[in-house]
Amino acid sequence: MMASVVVGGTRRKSLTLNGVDPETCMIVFKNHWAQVAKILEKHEPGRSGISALNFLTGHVSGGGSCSAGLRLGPIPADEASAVQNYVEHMLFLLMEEEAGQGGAMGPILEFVVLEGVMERLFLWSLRRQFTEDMKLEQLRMYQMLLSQARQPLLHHKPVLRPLMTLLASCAGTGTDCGGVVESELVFLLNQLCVALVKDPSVLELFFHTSEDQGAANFLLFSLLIPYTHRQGSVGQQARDALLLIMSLSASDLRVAQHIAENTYFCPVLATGLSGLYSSLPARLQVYSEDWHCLDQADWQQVPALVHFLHSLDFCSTVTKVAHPSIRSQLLGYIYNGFLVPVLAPALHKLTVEEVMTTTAYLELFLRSISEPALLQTFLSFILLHTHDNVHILDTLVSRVNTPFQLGTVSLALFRTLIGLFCEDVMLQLVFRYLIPCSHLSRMQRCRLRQRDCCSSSAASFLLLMPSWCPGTPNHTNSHLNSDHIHWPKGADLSVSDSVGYCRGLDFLMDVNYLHYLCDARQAISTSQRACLLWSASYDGINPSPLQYRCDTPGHDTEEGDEMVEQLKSDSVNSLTVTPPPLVLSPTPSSSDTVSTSTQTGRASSALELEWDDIFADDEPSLSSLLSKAAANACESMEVDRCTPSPAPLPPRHIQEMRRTATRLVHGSYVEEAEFQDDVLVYDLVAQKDTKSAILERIIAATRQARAGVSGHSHRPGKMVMEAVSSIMSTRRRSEDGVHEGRRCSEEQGRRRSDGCGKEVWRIKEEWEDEFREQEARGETGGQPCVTNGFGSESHILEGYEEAADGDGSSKGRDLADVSHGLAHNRQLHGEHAEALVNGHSDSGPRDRSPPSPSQGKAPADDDFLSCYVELMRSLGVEPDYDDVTDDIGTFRRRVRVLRKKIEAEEGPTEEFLLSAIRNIQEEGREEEDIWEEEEGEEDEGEEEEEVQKTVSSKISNTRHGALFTGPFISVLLSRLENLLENSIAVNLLVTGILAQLASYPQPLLRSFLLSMDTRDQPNVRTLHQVLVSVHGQIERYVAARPDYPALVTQAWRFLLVKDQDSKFRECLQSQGGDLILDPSLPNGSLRNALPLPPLGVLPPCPPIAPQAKSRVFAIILYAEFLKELAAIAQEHSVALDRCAEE
Amino acid sequence: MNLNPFWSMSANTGRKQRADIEEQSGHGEQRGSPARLTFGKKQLPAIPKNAVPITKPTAVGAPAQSANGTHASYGPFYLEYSLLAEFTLVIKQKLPGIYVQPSYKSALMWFGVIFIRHGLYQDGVFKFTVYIPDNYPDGDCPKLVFDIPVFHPLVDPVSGELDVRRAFTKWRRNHNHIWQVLMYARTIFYKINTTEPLNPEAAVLYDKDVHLFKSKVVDSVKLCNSHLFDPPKMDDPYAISFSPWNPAVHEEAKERMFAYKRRPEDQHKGAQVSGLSWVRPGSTQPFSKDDGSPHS
Repeated sequence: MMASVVVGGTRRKSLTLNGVDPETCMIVFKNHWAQVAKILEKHEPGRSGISALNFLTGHVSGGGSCSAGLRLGPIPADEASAVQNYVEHMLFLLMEEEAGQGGAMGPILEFVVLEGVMERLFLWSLRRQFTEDMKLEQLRMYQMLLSQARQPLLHHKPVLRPLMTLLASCAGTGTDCGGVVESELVFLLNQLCVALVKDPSVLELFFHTSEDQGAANFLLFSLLIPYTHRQGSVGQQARDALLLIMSLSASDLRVAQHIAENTYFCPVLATGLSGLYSSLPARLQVYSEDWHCLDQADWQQVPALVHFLHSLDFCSTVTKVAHPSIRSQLLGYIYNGFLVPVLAPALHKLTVEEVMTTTAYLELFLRSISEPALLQTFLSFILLHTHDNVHILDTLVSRVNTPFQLGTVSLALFRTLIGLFCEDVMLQLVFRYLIPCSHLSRMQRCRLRQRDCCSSSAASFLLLMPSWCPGTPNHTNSHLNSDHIHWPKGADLSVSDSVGYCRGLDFLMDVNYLHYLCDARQAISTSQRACLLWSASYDGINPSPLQYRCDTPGHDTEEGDEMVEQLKSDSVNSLTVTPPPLVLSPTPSSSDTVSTSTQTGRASSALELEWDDIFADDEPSLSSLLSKAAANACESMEVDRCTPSPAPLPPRHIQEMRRTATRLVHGSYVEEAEFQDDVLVYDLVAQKDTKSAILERIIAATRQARAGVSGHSHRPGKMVMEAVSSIMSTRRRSEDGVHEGRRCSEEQGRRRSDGCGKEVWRIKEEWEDEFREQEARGETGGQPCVTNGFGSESHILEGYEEAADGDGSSKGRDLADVSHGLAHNRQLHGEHAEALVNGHSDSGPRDRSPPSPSQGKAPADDDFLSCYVELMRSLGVEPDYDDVTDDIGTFRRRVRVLRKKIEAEEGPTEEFLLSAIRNIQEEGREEEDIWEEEEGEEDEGEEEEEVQKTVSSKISNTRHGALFTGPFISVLLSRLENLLENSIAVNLLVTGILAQLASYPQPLLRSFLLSMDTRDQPNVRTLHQVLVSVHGQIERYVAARPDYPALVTQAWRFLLVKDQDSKFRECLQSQGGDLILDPSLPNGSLRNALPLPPLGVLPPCPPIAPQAKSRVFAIILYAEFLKELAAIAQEHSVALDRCAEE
Repeated sequence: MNLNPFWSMSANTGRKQRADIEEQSGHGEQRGSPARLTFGKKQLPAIPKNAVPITKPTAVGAPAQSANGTHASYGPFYLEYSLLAEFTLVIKQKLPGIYVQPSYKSALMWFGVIFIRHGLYQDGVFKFTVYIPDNYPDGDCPKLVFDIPVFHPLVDPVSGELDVRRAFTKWRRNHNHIWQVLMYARTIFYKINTTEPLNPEAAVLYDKDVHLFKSKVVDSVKLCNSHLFDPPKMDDPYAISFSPWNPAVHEEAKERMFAYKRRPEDQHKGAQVSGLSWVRPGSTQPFSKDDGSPHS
């Protein structure tokens, strides 16, 4: 077949035509053609009558392999092969021909053009059965011509036209086996695009050709569109080709117009994203509470996600290179065709797990997008789009306070958002609440731009160090003669003296402050540079507090500070003076609280009470209130003046949320009047999420447990899922006796004592195994689950251990302690210390850290017992010990009975929960399910308690009239205040975000977070206040536990040394024989200055009880965070003001 | 950055010094400057006694465990950063004709030079040293001593010390800054005050016989300028020293100074992190820029 031409092409070419007379070639070519033509004519009916193109068009539109006019008999094989042979030679001659003088056509090409050789050959292949093979043959023929011809061929219509027809006929050949035609087609298209970019004059012809044909313009492009989202090399080639055309569109308006107006390119791209998104796993199974975002290792395991990211990347590139008209169209489609209809609902799905997954996806997308324009689309979706009247941003902010993974993942999302250094994001999150400067006194406002030259902020942070902790400034005076750290005092000091490494264990506590300074400097200069292109400096002057207020819609006048003050006091007065209806229903103020112009008068100022009062009142509807107030008070006042604008103040969504929350807890422990601030509302919304989270968890865990059972039996040696095995082992222990149980627990113990260092790697492997396994499982039943993160222990297991622990020790504890314990329920035992310090990761060996005792051994038999007791208690029944020990059946019966009882008593939520559980139970094995369900019940009860406690503490803590600095800040601060109860991951994220915020150069933010001034403002809740509160918590907590200071200090030293060690190793690895590390250097070299402990000399990590671990680390983290903040404050004071120098 | 070449220079060295520090502490190791030489017996004053300022928060429990007796002290950090901040402020002020540079040996000692561009002291080039008290900013005001006692009512004819105290009777932390001292040192040459002089002769002459005063000033300026190329009084690598124009040495440096202006832009281009903004200047609405097309 003709395909052999291609195959043999290169071989033949080696018999070059060098030196062969062109005349001879021409003669040979003509002869061949004459032979071919003879055969062709024999089989072309009424050649003169039927125009080839009509014929072709018919074929194309018919789409079949045969069309009218081909009723003649079959073509004899010898004739076909004769044609093929001749054609091979002819093509060879054509390709080898050089262009004529001055770029004129060579004689052969001219002949080809005049005689319409290509067209007739195409007809010939149609005349025979136009099979896939024929197409392949033709496609390859052109591929070869394009790649090897020495003169431009595409300029000539008689060559181009049959090519286009061929392409058109290949369209929609998705059905061929193996996609060979497709890949050849795309390859050819790619070639054509390359040719197009090289020589845009061909473009003209491409358009004209298609016009003649009457088919869709710019066929080349339309043909590529279907392959946009294809995976693999075909898709890649198509996308490359498309990008070539896109870059062409940037310079050629006609192409741009055509694509934007006549093709479905943009819609296809955008809807493709939607389609790909829908195939992503709806929920990610996460086994570690520390997991908070999809890093590369995570998403690479999920093919659907990889696919999606490729397409997203493609969109990104298109927006980068394409003509603005295409770009804006594409972005519009992505916004309206993907973000709004797909992502927005996905962010509001019913279950927390799904929402968490979507949030993680969103975070990943934001991280992956490199093109600012596309990023802008995503960001404007987040910032401006409202779903059910709530801005996406506000919803996301509210989720930060969710206990469970969703909160952690949301935090990670915000870390990413803040890391973008995007003015718009920061404006919406933070600055719009700070611009009015209402949190500052006038004096403070004047000092906003001043530097803190005396390190007083830093000192104020460092003073908050726990009193017992080493390195507190309290002891500063005790050694007056200590050397300067940074600059040598005298001339004779050697470096090592000035560094003073020999000064004892706490040397590292100093050294690591230097790291903080260094990091802070880096962070500040990075943000300074990044913020150079911001529109304003946010320094209390630009944008001016007044201008901001005027910026809000419906406002007209400008006024001075005095006016503002006046109005403020007015509004306060009006609280007492105004007539009853207004007093009773103080209105949530509109966005422009303070900016009210005088003529609006008293009534309106009554409407504009300190706006956070919204949270104190329980007005059901803003609008009704407004209209009422308007009618009552000031006829002339326009209602729309008061409609809440998107900007600064009491966002409508908070009302919405409040209502939801009210409904949620209606009739329970929270009175409506107790909604005092946003944080509380957020808590309640989070609480709502929590309920479904519990359900979700149960379902997921059950599913896994079930799936795991099969997996477990297949690979007994492997760690399948500890959750499963623990459930299994617990069950077996009770059913089959002690022997079995011991085996399991031994196994567990062995596994755990493997050593944390190895664990990291091992877990990684396990993770992969697990993933593979789960994929396999996905086929058999249930939807495929995707695992993420790497914690080796499941919640279920922990839950039980904790429950056991809690039972043992909680008897004498007060309520607060119980809830502490509960918080720990959510903590992962395998948390690694290295995450703590500075965020420096450490994958190095940690052979010296002995596993803590309670980790080393699986709970003994009484584990089950205590669990049972706990469960029974949570169900409201005093357990009967005898039942359990010998008869699991009795136990099960009791559970069932209790469940029924609860079902009857409890509200719809529980019923929902239980019915869901029942559904699962029907599918699965009963034993495990009972466990799951029990856990669920228990969790729920505990959660309830905890929330209740939080709520009550919130209520007592909330100060009336505290100025609102935005939901984001308050939610962050509220999570920070909870430092002791948070998981390590959450604490790292919260402190990380705050540190990054503090590194922003804008004086408004800097002074709010760091300045000493604002901390004295009584009605503003500041970072410093929260830290003081945490300080108090820690002091109280430690005061009750005399052994803590020593424990914490020891753990601290361990972490610091380890951090130092890992940094050193990192340094060694990355720099090899770096000068500083050169041991041959005399005094002053690193070795002498700071002899690092050799491997294995690390101080031991003190044994910390697992339930205490996160708290111990939280205390250390608190102290380290203080240092970090102090360092940031100090570096701010010496940072060169770039913006001012521009 | 700075347009003034000298400023840039001094700022540069300052930063370079820091960069050294950064680099080293970045490796988690020692700091201090690499090439340490032995310089005489200059000893820095003892460590600030009470560098920790500020009110203490509510009862900071009694120092419970001071187990090892050695504790980290952040005092040096406070002092150093106070001084760094002061230096940064000096840079920001862009004081005309004044250049300073902290010494290598101590951040508490700054070398400086002042160029007088018009007035009685026109063409004067006066080198000076600023001594900052070690309990800065809680102590006295810094001292400013001219290398060669300038003939001036407020400059001690023997020690060369400028009467700074009259301008800063009490040094107020966070309110008074070192750049103000430098500014003051410049002002005295343009606006002469004769009350309570340190150099009564100069004061009397100025009031009684301006011509003689002027000629004495001219002599003094000449004297100072004749010692311009003397080696610095202080043996310190960062001391300011002048040398006659030598193209082989200075031409390149001069070119670099003039080329310096472009550098900040280069830095921006090279910057990896670039922020984002679609906020129209003057607006406080997100995506208010024209090209920030809102979608729905």
